[in-house]
Amino acid sequence: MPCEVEDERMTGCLAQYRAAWSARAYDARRVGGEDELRDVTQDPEVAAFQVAPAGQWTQGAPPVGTFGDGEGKFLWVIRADVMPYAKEDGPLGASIAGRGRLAHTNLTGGADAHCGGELWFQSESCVWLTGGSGRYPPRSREELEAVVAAVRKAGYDVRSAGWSDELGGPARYFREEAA
Amino acid sequence: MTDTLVMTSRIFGIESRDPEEAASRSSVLFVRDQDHVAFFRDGATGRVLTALEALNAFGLKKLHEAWDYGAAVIVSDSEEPGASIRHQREALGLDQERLAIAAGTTPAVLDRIECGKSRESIHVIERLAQYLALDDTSLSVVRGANADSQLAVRLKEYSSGGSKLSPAAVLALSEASWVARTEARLASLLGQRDDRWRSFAPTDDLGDWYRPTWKVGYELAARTRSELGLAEHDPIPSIRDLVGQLGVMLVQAALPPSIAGATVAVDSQRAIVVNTTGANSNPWIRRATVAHELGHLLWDPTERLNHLKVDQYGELDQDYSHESDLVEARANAFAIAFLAPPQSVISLFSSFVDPRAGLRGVMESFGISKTAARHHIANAHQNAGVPLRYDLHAVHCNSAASHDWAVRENMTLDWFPIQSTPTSRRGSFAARVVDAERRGLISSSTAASYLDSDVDTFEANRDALVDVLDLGPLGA
Repeated sequence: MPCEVEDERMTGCLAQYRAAWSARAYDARRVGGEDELRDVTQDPEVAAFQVAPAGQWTQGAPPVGTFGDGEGKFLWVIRADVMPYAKEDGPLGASIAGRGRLAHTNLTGGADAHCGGELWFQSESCVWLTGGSGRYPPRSREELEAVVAAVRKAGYDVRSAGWSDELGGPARYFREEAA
Repeated sequence: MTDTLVMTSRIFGIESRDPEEAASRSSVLFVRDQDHVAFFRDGATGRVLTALEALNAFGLKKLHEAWDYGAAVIVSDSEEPGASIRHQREALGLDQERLAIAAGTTPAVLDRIECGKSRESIHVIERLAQYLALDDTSLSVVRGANADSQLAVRLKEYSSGGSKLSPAAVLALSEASWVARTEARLASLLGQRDDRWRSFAPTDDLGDWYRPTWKVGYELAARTRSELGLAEHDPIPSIRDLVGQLGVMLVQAALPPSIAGATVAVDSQRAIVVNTTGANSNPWIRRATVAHELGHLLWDPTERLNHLKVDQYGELDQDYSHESDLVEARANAFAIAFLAPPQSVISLFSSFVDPRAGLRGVMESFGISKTAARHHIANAHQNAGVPLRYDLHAVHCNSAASHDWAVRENMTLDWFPIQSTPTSRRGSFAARVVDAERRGLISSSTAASYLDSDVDTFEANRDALVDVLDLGPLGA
């Protein structure tokens, strides 16, 4: 689905979340260069998240340890109007000057957004999801769980990395049993 | 590749091409759990780390990942840190229940940690690591958590040699090893590392028909005293201080009853572990135990020391002339001659008219026990060919160590501002922990963990700790 248009059913799935958790400005401390604020949502590599099955996806898996990002990592952001997602390290990502990979702010053009994170597809309707974003992190365990609930409502089987009270933030590493 | 200057600026708020320099000046805090490190935020309950701690443990790239994504994944693979904990526990021959209880958790939690299927509390994981002599700074990050693999081997070798170590003894010695290696690391951080003990050249000289072993021990004691600038009549006011000056870690711990002391090789360091209970609760006897271990540490051949050396009370509390194990005999002779040079003992004893006063005088002057003094006075006279008019076994006097000796040797054993801190972590270890924390090298969270306390209690007692540990003002 082109990124500027959100499927009505997806809007319905995200409505409760968007109402409960307002959009906010990105964390400016985490932006390394101007090109990270370039809006790339017109690029065909960027799609709007839709109810399962996903329209645009690549099979992948999160990393098993400290090295690398796993295979096929996507970044996602929930904006007021749409939930764009795109590969972090595709050709589009490589075009981001300085950084060399996509940033969450590229999916918003630096505008306010609700929340962002990381995504891997096991299949067109099964995903691993984290709240790993330096710019639009989920603000609490409840917010992250609300995002997960919304994506499940959209028909996806979701494995969430969950929240770490010890970090005071979202986890990015997957263990078999959720925290 | 992001420039170092850019990364240090982003992460530490200080622009520098030297990350360590930037981290040491930065007030930014981090927090870790089992699998991640992140910038500290209010409400985080994990292990809080200073910028320098985080840099040393995880490196600049990982901290930049935390800057970028909110948290960095630090775990090397899904089996860690559980696999390292299980491996070391089994290598030490400990069951889950015993280790869990020692570390203040339950076997069920320990089992979950070892299985690795869930994320468990970093505080519990670190406590387990402390009892297993693992490097808590490399937990999750490094496979094996930099375990001292030789420790388990040596403990097993000792057990299989006929003198079985109980699980309680294994646990106590393992924890003591962690204390020693952590203190060595903190000493390096503080720039206080002193390896003066390495300047002593070991010798396998145990004497022969013409030169008995005890004489070798006496000679080594004299050489050691000379090397340390001690005049012949000088007592050693504090063996605890002296050992510290040599750069040897001294861990005073409550060990199982039969063990007097041990020398432990930890990384490339040497440590003396001495029991504070049983006979050693008398500081004079404890001094002799430490001196005995020092004799091994300074003079025994390296290959002998690379194996754990544990001494039972029975081996130490003997007239060295009756000791059949020549290495032990040499160490026993060394210990007594080191604390109380024989000629000085003869001179002092002969200055008293009353043998009871003379016996007590030798004890008080040199800080040795009544039993040791009796043997030593008799042996010193016999070895020097000087007649002794008294049977000292028939001479009785007060055997209790005087207060000033107890104060010098006990230091923080008797009283410590934080009651929960075990004896093994008081003394010089606690001094280095508190000093490192007040200099920003480690966090108060880390310091509290090392002293087996909580952050609030540690911070409330920081001034008292600085005072009782005699640290002096910062900048001194």
